[in-house]
Amino acid sequence: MSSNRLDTLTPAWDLLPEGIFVVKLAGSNPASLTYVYVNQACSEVMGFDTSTVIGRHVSEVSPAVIEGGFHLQIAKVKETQKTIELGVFPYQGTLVSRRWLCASLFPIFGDYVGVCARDVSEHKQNEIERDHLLDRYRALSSVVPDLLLVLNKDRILLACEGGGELGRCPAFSKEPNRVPKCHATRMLNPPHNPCAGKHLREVFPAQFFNVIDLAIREALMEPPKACHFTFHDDESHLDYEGRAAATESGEIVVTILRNVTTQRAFEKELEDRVARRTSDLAQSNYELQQFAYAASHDLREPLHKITAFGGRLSDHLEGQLDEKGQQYLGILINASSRLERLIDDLLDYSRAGQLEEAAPVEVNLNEFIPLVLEDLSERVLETKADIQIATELPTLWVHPSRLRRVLINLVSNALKFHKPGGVPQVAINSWVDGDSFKISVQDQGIGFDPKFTDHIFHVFTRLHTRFDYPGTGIGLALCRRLVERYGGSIEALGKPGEGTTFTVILPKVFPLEMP
Amino acid sequence: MKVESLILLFAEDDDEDWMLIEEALETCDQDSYERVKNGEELLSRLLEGNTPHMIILDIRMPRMDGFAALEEIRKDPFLRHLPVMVMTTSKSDIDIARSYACGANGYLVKPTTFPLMKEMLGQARRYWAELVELPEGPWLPKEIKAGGVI
Repeated sequence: MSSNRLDTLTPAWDLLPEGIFVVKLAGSNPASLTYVYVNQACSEVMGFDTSTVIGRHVSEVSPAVIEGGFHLQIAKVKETQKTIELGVFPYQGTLVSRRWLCASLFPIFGDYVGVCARDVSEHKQNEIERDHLLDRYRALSSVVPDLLLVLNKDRILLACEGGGELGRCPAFSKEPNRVPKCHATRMLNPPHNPCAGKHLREVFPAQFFNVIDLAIREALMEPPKACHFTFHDDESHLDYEGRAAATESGEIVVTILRNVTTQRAFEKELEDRVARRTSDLAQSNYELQQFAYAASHDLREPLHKITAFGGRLSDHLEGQLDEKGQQYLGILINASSRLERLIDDLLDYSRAGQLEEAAPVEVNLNEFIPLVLEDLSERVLETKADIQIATELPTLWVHPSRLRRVLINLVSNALKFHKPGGVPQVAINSWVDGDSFKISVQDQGIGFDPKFTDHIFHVFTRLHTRFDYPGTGIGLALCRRLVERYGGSIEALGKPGEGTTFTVILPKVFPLEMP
Repeated sequence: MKVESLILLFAEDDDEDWMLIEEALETCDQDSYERVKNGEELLSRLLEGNTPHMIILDIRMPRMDGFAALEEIRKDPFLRHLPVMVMTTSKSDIDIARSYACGANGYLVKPTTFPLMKEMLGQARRYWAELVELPEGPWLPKEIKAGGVI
């Protein structure tokens, strides 16, 4: 009779995706709990063998269910004739893998109670993943110093997170009385989020809102991009920096906000310091130039007189001075002209450190080198020097006056330091070597001891007395200084008695800002 | 116009340098010369009229230096035609550039020896007296001529 009543219900249940089965509980004895009906879906949802399970005791088929107190729940439904929701629970059947089920127990009639179960594993899995994501998000927002605002496109706040560092400054302090106008402070109070649901305008002062709003508007434009903004709060003297970016759908906007006051102050301090240094340097450079300028006149002027009047005296006393007297006067005049030469060379050297205002020009060495040598033609004739210039020389970009000076100094050196009794032999060459131009001046002269290689480029450093070889000891130092202005260098190779080769190395491309 | 005898006006503050210059000048006796000691004296001398054929100007002088004097001369319509040669001890690029920028007609560095000084002054004289033509007087704009300011 009873099973007939059940039969009227069950055909429809076979069509449902939920696993539905009916048990009969005689009295309250758990051992009597028997499967009466099992629908098709039960095999799928709970792994029942639908063909054999009917008529068997539950304690036999799944003893674990009885241990879990299943029969007590059934008894309760039978007694109260009310449905019980079991919620979501983990389930492991003999024929199915571990899963999450959601079940309810409902009364049918008399001793019959129905169980309806659904596999909610997918849903539960999503929930778990979501919880993990949320955890990650919370952990992230708790470590970033930025305030994180999540908004919809209407500027309604969905969430605010983080801002730990923001809270340390008065404008975002947690003490409301220290914060005259910045409402953003309130959003920092954990655990709840009182700003959610509010319009951005209600949270920030008007000027600040306008800045953020503009960035959000830009972020929402096509194509999506992150927009940067800065804000200086005049009242609190704090600087903020932020970014806004929209999701692809344009529905959600994320804005971060950071207090950069200390950074700004530091940057400003650095800028100021650099500016101060630069101006100090410019000042001292100017003073040095003034000094050199004054020296060029004030030092030379009295010296000029010594030379000029020494000459006049020598003319005036002609015939009246004995040999000694003439020698003394000769030394005097000679020394003063040497000193004059020295001052001129030093001034050239100091001027080589100054900025060249003119731009470098194209110089074809095939034409340039012979022109430079013309300036030395007197010395060349005097020494009967043999100067060989290589052919097919490159063209480079330099200041002709500087290169001229360098070449003249190097060639005069070669003419000067020839072997006693010999004729100077000089070879000039130039070629491209990778990223550099090289110009070499080679002689067969007296050479030098390699241990002095670095020495010879220093100001006032001489390897010989002026009686053997005249000079001020500035020429090579000047060459090096001029070449270094182009980011280049100069090398000397030599051995005593075996000649010297100077090689000037100029980069093809000068450093952008020449020192 | 070419002149047989140049009238030179020197602005030179240094008595010792002037001694050398004067001794050198005495060797070419067809020219006459005058000396003032600074820019101010130079300008007041030029205002007296009886303008020289050319001016030889030192740069560093007390009260008014050569640059300032040269600028004044080039501003004055009655004086700006006068050839001005700068003669100084300085070899500085800055002084050379600035002199020409102010309107100098030449830049001479005072030579160290007396023979060179004679040689230099002689060459300069040949250039200005024998080679180039000098203006007879100032070229005046119409309005000044019409107003007859003189």
